[in-house]
Amino acid sequence: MNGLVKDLVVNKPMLRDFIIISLLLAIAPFFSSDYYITVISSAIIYAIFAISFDLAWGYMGILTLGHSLFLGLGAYTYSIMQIEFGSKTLAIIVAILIPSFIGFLVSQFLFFKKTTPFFIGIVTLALTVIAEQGVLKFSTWTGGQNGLTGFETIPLAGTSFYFFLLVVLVIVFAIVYYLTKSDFGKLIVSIRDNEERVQFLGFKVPHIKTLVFVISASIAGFAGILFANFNGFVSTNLLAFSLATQVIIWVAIGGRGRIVGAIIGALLINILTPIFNTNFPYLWQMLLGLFFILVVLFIPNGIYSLMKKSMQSTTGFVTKVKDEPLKNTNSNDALKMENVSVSFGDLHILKELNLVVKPGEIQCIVGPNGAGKSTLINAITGRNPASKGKVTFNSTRLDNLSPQDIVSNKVARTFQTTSIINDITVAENLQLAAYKGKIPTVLKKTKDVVLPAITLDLLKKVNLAHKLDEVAENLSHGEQQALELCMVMALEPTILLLDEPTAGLTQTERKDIGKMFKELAHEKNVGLVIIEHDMDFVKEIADRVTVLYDGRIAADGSVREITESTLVKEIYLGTAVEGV
Amino acid sequence: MDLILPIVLNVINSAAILFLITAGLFIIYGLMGIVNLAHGEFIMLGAFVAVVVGQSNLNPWLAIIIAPVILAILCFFIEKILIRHLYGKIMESILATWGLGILIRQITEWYFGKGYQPVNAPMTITVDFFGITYPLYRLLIIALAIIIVIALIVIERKTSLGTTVRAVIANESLASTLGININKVYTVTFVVGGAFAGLAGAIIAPLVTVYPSMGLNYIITSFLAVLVGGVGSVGLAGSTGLFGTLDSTLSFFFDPILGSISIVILSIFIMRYKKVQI
Amino acid sequence: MPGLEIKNLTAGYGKTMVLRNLSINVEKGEIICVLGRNGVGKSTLLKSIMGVVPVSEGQITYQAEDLTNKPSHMIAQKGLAYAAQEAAIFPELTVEQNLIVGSKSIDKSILDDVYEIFPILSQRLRQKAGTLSGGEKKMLLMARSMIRNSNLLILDEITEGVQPSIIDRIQQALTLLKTKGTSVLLVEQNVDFALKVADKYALMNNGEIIEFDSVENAVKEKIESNLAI
Repeated sequence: MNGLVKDLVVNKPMLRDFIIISLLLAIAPFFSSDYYITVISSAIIYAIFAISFDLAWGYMGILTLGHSLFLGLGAYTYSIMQIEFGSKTLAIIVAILIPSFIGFLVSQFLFFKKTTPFFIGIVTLALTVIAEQGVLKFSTWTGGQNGLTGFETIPLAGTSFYFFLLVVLVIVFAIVYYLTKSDFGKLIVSIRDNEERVQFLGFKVPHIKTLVFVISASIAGFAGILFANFNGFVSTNLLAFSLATQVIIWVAIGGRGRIVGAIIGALLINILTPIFNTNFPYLWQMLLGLFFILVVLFIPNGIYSLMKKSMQSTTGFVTKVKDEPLKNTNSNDALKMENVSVSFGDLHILKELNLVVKPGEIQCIVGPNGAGKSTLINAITGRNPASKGKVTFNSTRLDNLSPQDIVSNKVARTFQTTSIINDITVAENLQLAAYKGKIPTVLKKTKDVVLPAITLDLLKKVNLAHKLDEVAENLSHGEQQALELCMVMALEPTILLLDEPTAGLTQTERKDIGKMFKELAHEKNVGLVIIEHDMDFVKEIADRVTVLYDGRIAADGSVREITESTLVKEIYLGTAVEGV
Repeated sequence: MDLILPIVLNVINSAAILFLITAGLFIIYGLMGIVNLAHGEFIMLGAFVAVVVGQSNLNPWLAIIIAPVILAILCFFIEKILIRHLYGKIMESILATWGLGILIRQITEWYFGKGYQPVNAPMTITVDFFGITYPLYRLLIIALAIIIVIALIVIERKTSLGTTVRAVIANESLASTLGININKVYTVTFVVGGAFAGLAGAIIAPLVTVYPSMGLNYIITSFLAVLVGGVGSVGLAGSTGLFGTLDSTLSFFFDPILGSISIVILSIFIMRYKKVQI
Repeated sequence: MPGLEIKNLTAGYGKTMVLRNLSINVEKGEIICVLGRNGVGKSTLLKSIMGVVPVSEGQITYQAEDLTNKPSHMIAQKGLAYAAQEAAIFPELTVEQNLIVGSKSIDKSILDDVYEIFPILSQRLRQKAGTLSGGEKKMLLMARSMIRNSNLLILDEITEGVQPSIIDRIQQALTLLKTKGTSVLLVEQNVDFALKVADKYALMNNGEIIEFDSVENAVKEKIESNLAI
């Protein structure tokens, strides 16, 4: 028992703090008047609403300016359903489904193409305003301006309702807490931190965002049902943008991305507001507004983050070797780029480029700045789609696929500016990669990191094997690069594209990486495409060298052929001319 | 003709009003990339200048002159204190300006109360316009919108100020290395954008209900118009024209809700198929 | 009057320091050329001077004034004219607008000379700069740098992808500037051109200058082998 408590106090601060809060809430009714019990009851429902908003915003990074849409939908659906059909249970079920469904619909517009937080905010705000107008218009159903009464509520009141709400809060907290602490939870915050990298690890990011958003919407809808039952009265206040605004303030001030912070923000502000509202209403609101601005500027993660020095990183990860197939089952099909052009408006970067990448071969791409080397990798991996031409691999066309789908076709890449998930540990980064795009478990936090033997070897050589619990942000530049390399190797790709992998590495590190690349290619039959400036490195490991100039392949051959070519010399000495 | 013309004029009027309201927002977002969610409150403040002018029994036209000046001064300080910290940070600029809007709303509510404030129009005369009688004030608004569109296009394309601004929008780093003081450009932009908003507020005050939360009605449509219209006076005129027409037509013939919904849906579809990142 | 003085410069992006403890001076009226392979830090050097890349250690002074980490527009207004390697023009603005945007004053006396060396620019003044060919854009960059009353030109691979006849014109322009006492710091891959126009050369490797001498002492083949594959 003692060990359990100690573990709780030391290792699980959020859980500990929540238990403290629940205990405080549990004894509060015994010291409060009936009026304050009502106030705190409301505050608890608002806290549930805040949890739903924090899940979408703090954890997933989706800022909606109209989250009250879902709460209002839940409240109105429950009351209208109950009046029309009588059954409270049916009403509750439908009242959860409707906001979830709307959340799903909204997700289709917001997450499946590139959208900025700005667009998402404005659209959700607009929907809330429209919903409010809709309620006013269809007043025969909704009661319009006057609100809706006359529906049956859960047969509890006063103190018993209060404890009911407290139990609900504990349940919702538990669900969301364990969700965010699971492997799936790590995936969510990784998307928030570095969406592109997660995409290029093969995860279907838009679908994951949709899933989380729908969960958030359903919890918000449930909070609406609670309000309907608590007040016996539903009005447009529950839909209004002012409530949507308020929840942003509670969560921003309390603690973004930390459920307990969101709960504290919602409880505190909603308990204090009635007190201040009787005395100086406008001053209080103005102070809140001012405080909100200050928090946004100077304490972006909210007050709770000040109380905890940092989010406890999960420790205790263990690496394990993956059972590997006896022989690499990859086919020997080459990746082919045929007449690929990439343009940005009038700017033509790649011009009808033809390239062949063979598994088992190390092909180095060299060329002057601006030749289009990174764009070439971008065209293959779906980051800059080809405007003309096609890319095929294993009889699949890649050029019309999303980056995550290309990864599932066993084509992976690194970025010129090292792209890893900064907020989580080395082990968590590797674990994410090892999932290869499958959705991680929501049920628990696994501590095993299962990697292919060759990746574990590299991990040891670059001295990361004993730094598993180090937060990625604190690694040196070279270590971060090595981490990214290990991550993409964990994807076990057949074709691996690397953008300047040796930049910032020491001589010894280059030697080790060079050896590893050779092993990958010649023993594991992986096709490597490496953009490089370090000519000594290229000469050491390349099977083939391709020279890119002005968006076209200027030369392609063995190391010797390229070193001896006069054309290549001219290109490098700047005496070659465009259009050659 | 007698039946159609008033409707057409009303539609053009709506579009013109939408343009005036959006112009300030467009200048700030288009140039600085800053999402100013307090824009609606700037308009509201302009409208309240008209309220105060009316309550002080001064010439109503004064409001149209004073409002932009007051907003310009206010925005100068807001830029120095708040907006400076937000460059390049989209999420923070959404939140901080949202908070600013709340603050301004609260202060105004505290001072004036929540209710509607009546504002008298500077002129109530109607004129004979192609066979129908129509308020001169509204015709002037249409004329003003047209003048501003033309002025903006001319400034953008023909003056060195316009060239400087276009350079900063196109490539801030390059513009800076050529000697353009980006910070100064931003301050001026925010001040001018705010002044425009104040002007718009003072102009529309006699025509709409004026109350502290009125700003919200405008920012949604304005923002969507800016997103859809893109960066450029012509684009803006186009999108506000489209939205203003759609909204007022549908609201008139069917329902205001239909008007709002259609704008949102139209925006979503246009943005999905535009190749530009929004 | 001292020219451009760079002492112990360490600069780079994020965690990567591209330049390490680099020192170099450009005296008044001198043309100095910086050579080196891709990735050694030549462009980064120019960008640090212009305030585009942050300097973590060291100092950059020009005419005895400290320019380290100052805003780019201030540096430009001190008389430094910069032509970057990539995307250095505004495609949607006209040639004429590109020439004068941002400048406080134009040196009218040199305008005639500029149009004489680059006549095609005077013909295309009203055209959008985006429609120019690659070589014409470089000419535009050269002209832009010349007409701004600047006494130090900072040029990043001005001859890249440009045909020999235009390279000749650029060389003409540099000769003209030399007679006016303008200093030039240029980065080049074209060793022939570099050794023809410069007074001194600096060879860079790994973020440092490994060789610095007057061009009379330069051994072309040795330098070229250092640059190529």
